[in-house]
Amino acid sequence: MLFLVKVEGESLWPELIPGKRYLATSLFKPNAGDYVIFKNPKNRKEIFVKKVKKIIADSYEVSGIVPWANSSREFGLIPKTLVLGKLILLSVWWRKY
Amino acid sequence: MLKKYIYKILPVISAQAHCDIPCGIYEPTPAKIAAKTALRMTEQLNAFELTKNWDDAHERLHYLNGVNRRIAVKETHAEICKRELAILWSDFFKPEHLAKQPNLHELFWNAEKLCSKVKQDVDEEAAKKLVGAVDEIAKIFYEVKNVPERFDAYKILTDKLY
Repeated sequence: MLFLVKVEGESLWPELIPGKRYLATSLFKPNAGDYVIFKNPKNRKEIFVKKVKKIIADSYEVSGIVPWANSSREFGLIPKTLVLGKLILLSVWWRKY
Repeated sequence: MLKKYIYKILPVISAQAHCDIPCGIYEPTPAKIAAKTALRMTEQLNAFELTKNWDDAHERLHYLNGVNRRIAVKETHAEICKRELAILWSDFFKPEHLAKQPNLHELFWNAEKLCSKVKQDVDEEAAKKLVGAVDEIAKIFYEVKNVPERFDAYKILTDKLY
């Protein structure tokens, strides 16, 4: 399935720009370095986007880019069941528009 | 062109790339220090005896200076407390916290009013109530941050300021 993700907040600045929409899919498994969209394990009403740092068994360790960003330190590892998808087509062509 | 078409047909969800600024710097301790300072000044003002020799210019000035300094500090710190509480109220606490603590607005409202009361008068009772109100808010603050154990550390530190 394909969907669009509107990014709010600047923890992934300058890679992802707040207010911009990015293409995402649930068809592919996120790998280390991908941007993953998931439900916050501490409050499942919240949807976060973060960068996958490491894959540990069936979970993802995630973080932001800026040093003050929230990360797995705060909300723990993300189980695969809470993952909604990952961003794709983060190419120059896509960002240009 | 293709992108415009994609935007029209695909569902959109919002995802937070949440930062910890300024969450990481919220803290109720400054409000407690200010409330305790205002209480301390109130206690000292109540205990500061009127000079027996009012006609002596030096003694009179010394007395007036002592009273005025304490009033100024009380006024300043009650205002600091008011501001620190307002920051927690408006910036830190979110609607979901209110769902868990339905009396949150009332707590803050009363605490802010106590700050004014402490400024308006030399009322030890009101100053003690303000300290208690800040503690109550601090307890909720640490619970909401999922670090309830830090409330004990906060109490140990701020209860023994003098």
